[in-house]
Amino acid sequence: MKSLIDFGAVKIYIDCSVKLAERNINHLYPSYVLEDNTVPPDYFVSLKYGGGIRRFVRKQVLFEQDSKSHFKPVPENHAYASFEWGLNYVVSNYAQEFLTIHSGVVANNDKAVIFPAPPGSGKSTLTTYLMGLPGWRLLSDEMALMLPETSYIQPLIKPVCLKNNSIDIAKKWFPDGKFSSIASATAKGDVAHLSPPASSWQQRDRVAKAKAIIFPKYTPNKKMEIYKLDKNQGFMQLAENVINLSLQGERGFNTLTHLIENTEQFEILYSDVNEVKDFIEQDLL
Amino acid sequence: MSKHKISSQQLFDLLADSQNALDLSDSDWVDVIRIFRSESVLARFACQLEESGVITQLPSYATKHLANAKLVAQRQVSSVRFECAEILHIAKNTCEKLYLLKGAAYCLASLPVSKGRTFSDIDLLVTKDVLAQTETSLKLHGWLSEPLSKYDEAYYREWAHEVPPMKHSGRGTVIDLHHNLYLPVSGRAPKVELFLEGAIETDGFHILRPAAMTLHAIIHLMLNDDLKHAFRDLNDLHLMMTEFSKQAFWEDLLDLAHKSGFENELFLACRYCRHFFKTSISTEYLTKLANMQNMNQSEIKLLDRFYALALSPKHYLVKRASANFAELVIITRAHLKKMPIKILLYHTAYKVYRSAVESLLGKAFFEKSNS
Repeated sequence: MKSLIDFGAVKIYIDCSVKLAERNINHLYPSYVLEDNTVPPDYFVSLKYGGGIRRFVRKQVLFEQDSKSHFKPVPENHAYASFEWGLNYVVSNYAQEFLTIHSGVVANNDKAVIFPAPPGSGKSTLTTYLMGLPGWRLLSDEMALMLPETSYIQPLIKPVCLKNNSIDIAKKWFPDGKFSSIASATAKGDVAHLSPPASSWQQRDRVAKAKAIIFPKYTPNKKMEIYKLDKNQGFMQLAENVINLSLQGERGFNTLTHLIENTEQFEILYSDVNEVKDFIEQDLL
Repeated sequence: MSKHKISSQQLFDLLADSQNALDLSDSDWVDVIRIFRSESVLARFACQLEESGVITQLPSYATKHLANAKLVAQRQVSSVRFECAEILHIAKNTCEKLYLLKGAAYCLASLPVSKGRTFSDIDLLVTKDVLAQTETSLKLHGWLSEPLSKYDEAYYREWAHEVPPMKHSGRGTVIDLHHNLYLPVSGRAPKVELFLEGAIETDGFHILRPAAMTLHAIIHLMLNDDLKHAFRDLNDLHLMMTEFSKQAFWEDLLDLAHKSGFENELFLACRYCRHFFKTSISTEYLTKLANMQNMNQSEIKLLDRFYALALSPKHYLVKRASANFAELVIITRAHLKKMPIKILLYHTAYKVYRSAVESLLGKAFFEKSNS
């Protein structure tokens, strides 16, 4: 398939000749996102089978950006996951019009909550849970794209990435959800992607304003504990999660300062996502 | 509307004079940005558009991508300056003079050619008597060589003008440490002193004088076996010649090429700069060079045709089908100049084996899959 995909923040032209990945893309991306040909593409990527004998035996798949490969080839079964990760790489390395914070982001009524955290903290699960609730929408499960020197976030709408146990949990939350096939035994374990609800896709061009920054920490069998951070702690912890802070220089620093001054920051230990949701809805928005 | 296709010559013209950007249509911009990004000249183009003021008249799609490329290049400049300070601190005790070559030198000397230029490594040169201790010193401070095949290791140690690349284990920056400007095995390696003479001290390093810097860049482009960045490299030469174009520079350049035996390369480089970028080089000078070089007319005519392809952008939107063949011819010619035929046959046999395995079993045969 050849198609221009409109992710909101970026438009990427894809050329995919791997059937398995193509099926997943057609299943997970709404047709109106795939068919928008009115805007110029920002980047060009492709997903192809590797050459030589590997075309036939233990097939390998290669993700390329405009004929340049940034990654080693992966087994065919990982094709679609590697396509999604490749796209994340392209956006975080090239879309320097944003300050990019490694985080999940959701919004309620254009008020956004950012969950910056290292892998394993449960940010994806939390983001996935919230995006499915009435009034909520996804802005990104991977990076908050901040417009410079504001606290506005540009959505980057793509299927969310679920790992291992969270796949089954998400299937309970989204019984009618569109899930990709599972890429088994990747570097991150078993991986599946889930298409966000229609309201997220439809509002992919609508910015939201950051209200709160929450550093989540999934802690099994624990009642929720909330710690409010002071501005210094908030700044330092957030800075650690900014992908392009030094690259953005002064503008990046100003954006971060602006963000800290206009939001509240918390650290939350939780085991029940619903408790986190109640806290956000009742106390923050 | 049928889409107008961008031509190679248009791309040369854009870099030669940024005013030409005003004629681009919206769909041209998509192509130009793609091609310049893949040729590593997008940030340079952005800087030129900014200097000429043209940037304020461009569509927002173009300004967004140009500004992004410039940010990445700026970050590289500060990173290069940081690395240079580190290297100086480490290596200054092992050698009296530490020479900086190519990109990092342009950058420390703040030359126009450095504006928006991106880097893949830092090139250093020390004299052979202090090579071993400089290498050891850098290794002790974290710049380690990647594991090489036995063959490649021997290639560097016995035949090359540099030691195997050293990569910093924490920051990933790469140093190429040289002791000459061209391969000793070729029998054409110049007396390095000719080039080091009159080097200019800058921030603790030594940087080759304009003629030596330019001729080194010429040798690198005309005799290298890697033409990946040929379009950018030729533009480097254009910018250097334009910047240095005082009478004394041209005479020094000619004199140095004569003494070091690179008259042919200087002749070709000037010829192609003038042809593609309209570099201002006087006809008298070219005639003088034409009389000094020792290729015959038919060889030059043939080279013109191959270089026209090899020096053009390689992106598939503009690449001609015959470009791969042209590159092969030029690389083979470069190899023939570089090595005595016996060594070349040995080298070729090894490389052919390697690429045969890769094309038969897949490019990644020598690498492991990710998972």
